[in-house]
Amino acid sequence: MIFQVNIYGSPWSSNAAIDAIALVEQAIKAGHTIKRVFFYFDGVYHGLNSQSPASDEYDLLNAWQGIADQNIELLLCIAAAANRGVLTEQEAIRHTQPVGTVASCFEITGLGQWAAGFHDVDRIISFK
Amino acid sequence: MSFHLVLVTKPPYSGRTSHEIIEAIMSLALFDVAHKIVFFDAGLSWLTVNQCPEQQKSLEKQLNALPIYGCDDIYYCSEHRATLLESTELNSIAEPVLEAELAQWFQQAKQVEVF
Repeated sequence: MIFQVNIYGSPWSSNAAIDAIALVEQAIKAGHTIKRVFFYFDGVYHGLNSQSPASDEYDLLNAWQGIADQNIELLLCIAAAANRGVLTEQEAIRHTQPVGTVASCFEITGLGQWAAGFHDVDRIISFK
Repeated sequence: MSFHLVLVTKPPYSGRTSHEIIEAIMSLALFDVAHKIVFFDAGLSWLTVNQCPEQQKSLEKQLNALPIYGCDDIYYCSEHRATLLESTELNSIAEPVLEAELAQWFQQAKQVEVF
């Protein structure tokens, strides 16, 4: 089965991200395909490259990097991200901001990729 | 014909999130995703008329623009109207749908997204 996973909540506001990462990992182990993970609303904060959890805390960014290493697209909505200061180097230049803030395992894209899931996957699962 | 169901349950003017919900709905139409939108529970307040928000864009105006983008199937849960808004005038862009029919839509829809 082909899945799209949507992440709508910020990294530390709930356990949703940990649950989403567990679902993605288990789905892959079970032979399913994760077409994309799309981050929208406050979910775009997952893309921040400056997340620095204490050494005894779960490292969400590192977990997302592990997902990306399995050739799964991690897509941040470009408008939601820009509104929240989550900018790639290119976007930072475009918005005349001093520095990019997006971790390298994430890409920015439009809502078309979110909508694409309604056409090209079997199931969409959203975490808030 | 298969369709996707979007439920809006959050109240309007919940910060940037409300505008992003509208943008997501518009993107469904722009990318030819067959869908029905249902305002449900606290989401019915999106449909009140003559909204005059201060320091932010009117969600009513954005809702009224949805048909231009191809979003024509817009509904509200009629039982919730009776409970929450009584005789308050609602935006004519949306039509009532009974819970029983909505339950069928849940079964028929390919995907259900809840905002």
